[in-house]
Amino acid sequence: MGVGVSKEIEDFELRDTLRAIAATQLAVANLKADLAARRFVLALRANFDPTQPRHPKGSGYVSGRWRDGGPSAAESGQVRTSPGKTRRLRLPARAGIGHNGGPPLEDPPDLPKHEPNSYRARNNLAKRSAIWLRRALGRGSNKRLLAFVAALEAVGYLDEFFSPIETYLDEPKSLSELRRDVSRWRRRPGTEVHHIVEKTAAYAEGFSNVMVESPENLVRLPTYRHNEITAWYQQGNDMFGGVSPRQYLRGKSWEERVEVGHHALREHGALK
Amino acid sequence: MDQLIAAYAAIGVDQYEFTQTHDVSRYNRLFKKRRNISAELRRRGPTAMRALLPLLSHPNLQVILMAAQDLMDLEPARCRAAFEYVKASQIMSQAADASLSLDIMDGKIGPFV
Repeated sequence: MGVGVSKEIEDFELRDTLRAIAATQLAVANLKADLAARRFVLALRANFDPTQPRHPKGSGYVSGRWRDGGPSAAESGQVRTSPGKTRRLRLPARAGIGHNGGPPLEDPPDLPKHEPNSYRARNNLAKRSAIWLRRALGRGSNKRLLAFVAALEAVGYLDEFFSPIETYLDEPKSLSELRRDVSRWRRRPGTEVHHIVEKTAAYAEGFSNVMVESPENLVRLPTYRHNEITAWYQQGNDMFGGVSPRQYLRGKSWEERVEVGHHALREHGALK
Repeated sequence: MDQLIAAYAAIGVDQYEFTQTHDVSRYNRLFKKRRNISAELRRRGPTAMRALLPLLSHPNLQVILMAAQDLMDLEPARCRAAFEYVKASQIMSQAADASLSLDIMDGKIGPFV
């Protein structure tokens, strides 16, 4: 076979390959167009409003998310995530730090196929999920953990609680970090400002606004931690002589309230 | 006696559920009932109080916590182990109260009476 013939065959094979690549690219482009059209139809069905503002690219972990404001997704029936993209649950980088005894990890909460019909029921389910995830993270149960995260993302109806679930997995922080977060993370979803000395009780007993709203008295906590601490202050407690910490603190000094407040933060895993 | 202990454990199981949903008023109603049972056992003496000992290995964390708090003066070593077990669960509010109980045992805080 001469050199000329050989070159001709090579050129032919090259052209054939290029044609095949072009055909594949065309098929991919068609699929993309089809997918975009389907997303658009889904978005219309979900009453998606393309003019609703979102956090711009480069805004850190909130990039691309809808801005706060307006009724919740559950109340309005509107989607809050971009159509075609499901909100992913972000787990902390650390995992499998080990644990110091305690009960074995139970099964994760059951996620019903149909959406629980009240906000309270969905929130309780999200909180139970957060507690289980925290325990699973501490035990390094990565396989079960990832399977449950995939299930949480798949059910869809808990998306609006992903932020409080994520913040519940935060590690404990120092007091100065928790105080700094009041302004630093003021827009971080899933967090709330907490008064170390309870606000309402302090005002009721004549403590000044300067003391109650002082930066020393304010910390930013994960929402579910804040809920737990608020409930703890109201529950009857053997360690407070059979009354709630809030009742016990009636008539007590500012310093004693601060001491109990710091302990509440520490015992609930918010403070190092 | 068995009925008192069974009622005590049943209260703990219900209270656990109320802590998970932050249903404070229902929790507190049961808290008073449980305090009455504890007071009755204390009135009957240490032998009656020790009838709570099997509850230190109950499957429910709230029941373990309650029994350990009632027995911490009588059986400090076993109650310390129970508090550490509950604390390690990281389940609130039981873990927080177990941690507080350990701090009080160790003289780090309180007692708040």
